[in-house]
Amino acid sequence: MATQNELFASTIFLKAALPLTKVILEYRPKMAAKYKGLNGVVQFVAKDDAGDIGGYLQFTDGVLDVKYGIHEKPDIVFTFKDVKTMNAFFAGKPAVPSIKGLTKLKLLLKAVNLLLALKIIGRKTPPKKPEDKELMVRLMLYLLPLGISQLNKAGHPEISKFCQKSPDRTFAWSVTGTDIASYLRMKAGNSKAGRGKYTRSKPFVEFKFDSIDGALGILLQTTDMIEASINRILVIEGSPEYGKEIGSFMNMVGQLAS
Amino acid sequence: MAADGLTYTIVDTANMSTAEIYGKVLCDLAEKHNDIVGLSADLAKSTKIGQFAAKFPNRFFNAGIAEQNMFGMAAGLAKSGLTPFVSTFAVFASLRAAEQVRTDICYPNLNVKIIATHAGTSFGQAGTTHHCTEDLAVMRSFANMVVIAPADGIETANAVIAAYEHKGPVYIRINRGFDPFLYEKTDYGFQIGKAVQLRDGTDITIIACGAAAYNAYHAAGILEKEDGLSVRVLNMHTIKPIDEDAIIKAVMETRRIVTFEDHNIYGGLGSAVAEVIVKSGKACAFESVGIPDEFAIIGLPEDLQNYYGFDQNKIIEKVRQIMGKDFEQTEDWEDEV
Repeated sequence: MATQNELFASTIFLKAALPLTKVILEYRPKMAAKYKGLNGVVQFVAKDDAGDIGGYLQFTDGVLDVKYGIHEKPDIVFTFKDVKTMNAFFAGKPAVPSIKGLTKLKLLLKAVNLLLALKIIGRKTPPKKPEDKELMVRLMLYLLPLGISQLNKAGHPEISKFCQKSPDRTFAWSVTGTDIASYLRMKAGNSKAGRGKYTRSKPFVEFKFDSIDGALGILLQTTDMIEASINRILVIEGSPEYGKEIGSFMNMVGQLAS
Repeated sequence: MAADGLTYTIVDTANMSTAEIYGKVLCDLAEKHNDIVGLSADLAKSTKIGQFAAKFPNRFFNAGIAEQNMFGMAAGLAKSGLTPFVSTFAVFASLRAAEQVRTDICYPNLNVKIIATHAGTSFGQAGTTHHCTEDLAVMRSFANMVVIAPADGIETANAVIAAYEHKGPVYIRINRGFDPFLYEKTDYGFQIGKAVQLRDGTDITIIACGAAAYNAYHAAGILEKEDGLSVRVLNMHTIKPIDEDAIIKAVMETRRIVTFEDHNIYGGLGSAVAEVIVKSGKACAFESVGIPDEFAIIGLPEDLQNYYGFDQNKIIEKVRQIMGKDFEQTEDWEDEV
């Protein structure tokens, strides 16, 4: 049976990372064009004594939807012997699933291509092309609030405790000079991750990165945080204590996803 | 106005304490005016009058942990023609030494300036005994006393200078520190007894002081952008003498007034504003927000601001409530995936 930590990691992969494939297609129109007219369901499932865990990509006339759970009639199924192996697969580590539906080659290749594109969030070094850098930062800044929110909903003890005590507050991330922004709203145990600026209130804490490169340096932990603060590569507006707390949750998501 | 608002970096932090600015301004004033002397009760470092003590050791007196004596000493120094600046925590100035402030200083109308730090709930984690949510009420009730609650470090600088220029006792309450800057420059027309209109508006007027003024200003911006509300914001830095004209004008022009303060709702800014409204005989919707009839709970200042309803989001919520609007139209907690 999967450990609690393996289940939290699977939550990150299936409920926070996998949905980012939609963002990839949204910001890679050339790639999206290749999915035009595509139909089919690609299921990822891990066996577990407490019940199988999975998520799936659903293409309907080329439009992608990502769902958590087990589809009734998937076209292709990636089956993992346990949750740990599935997590390793999504983290880009060696892990071999059994694959059913290999005859639907086009669908399989498209799904694999999408997963390969998603690997950008697991990079340890920044990409070279500016558009790849931008996509990587976008995906990571979407992943972090979503990951924290999903861990809250999955009952992660530290995050849930924090969220339970939270009055109506938003925490935000943004990159200056771009439209890249995300937020996490919390209120008495409820949480909601969103994309773009939250405008109904002022964020309680906002992580403002000065540029795409600045954000990458911090997110990949190649820039020293103190230097980043001194040089205003990262400005944390709001309560320093809460900034630290959210920062530790960001690390938690990063660690679970690696 | 400061564009960035609540911005902390490691570099900024050391410069952000409101008390730190007070210490610097007092030193500058003392360079020019030999009559200025400083007093503290073993809190020179915490209240930042220590900067003055280091620069003018012969003009500084540490009374030890004996606040009543310190205010008596200040009265004597003032009587002999000097201008004492006395610094201690607000809770000690307004409660422990209340009788000496009243009888030794206010009764003879002596020229003593009290700079009380760690006011309101700004000393959050230090606990309820070190919070000071009664000082405005106490000090306001002393005849001759001028009472000022600056919004930030810049306004504290202005208040300290104005206090020196005013003949008679002045009480200035400032926070523990780390206050975001509401103002960028000192030349915005600070005057004792004159509110500063931070924004104009016609739907409702927010009257705030101290830490709540910054929050009110930014909350009004969000209310205008998101809800189309026209919100007037008055920074009522002087609680006594209060700017009656600005309050009456707000009653007539907006018909809805809500006050926010880091103080008990009895006897502070809200009460002072309410007294003016009642005296005027004009009707308006009125609410005052601050610490209710209880001793403040212990926590981080940001949490306490939220808990007691004067952080930005709670101000937004209160205004929306008064205007009949909800924070969100729906309770939708589905993540955007």
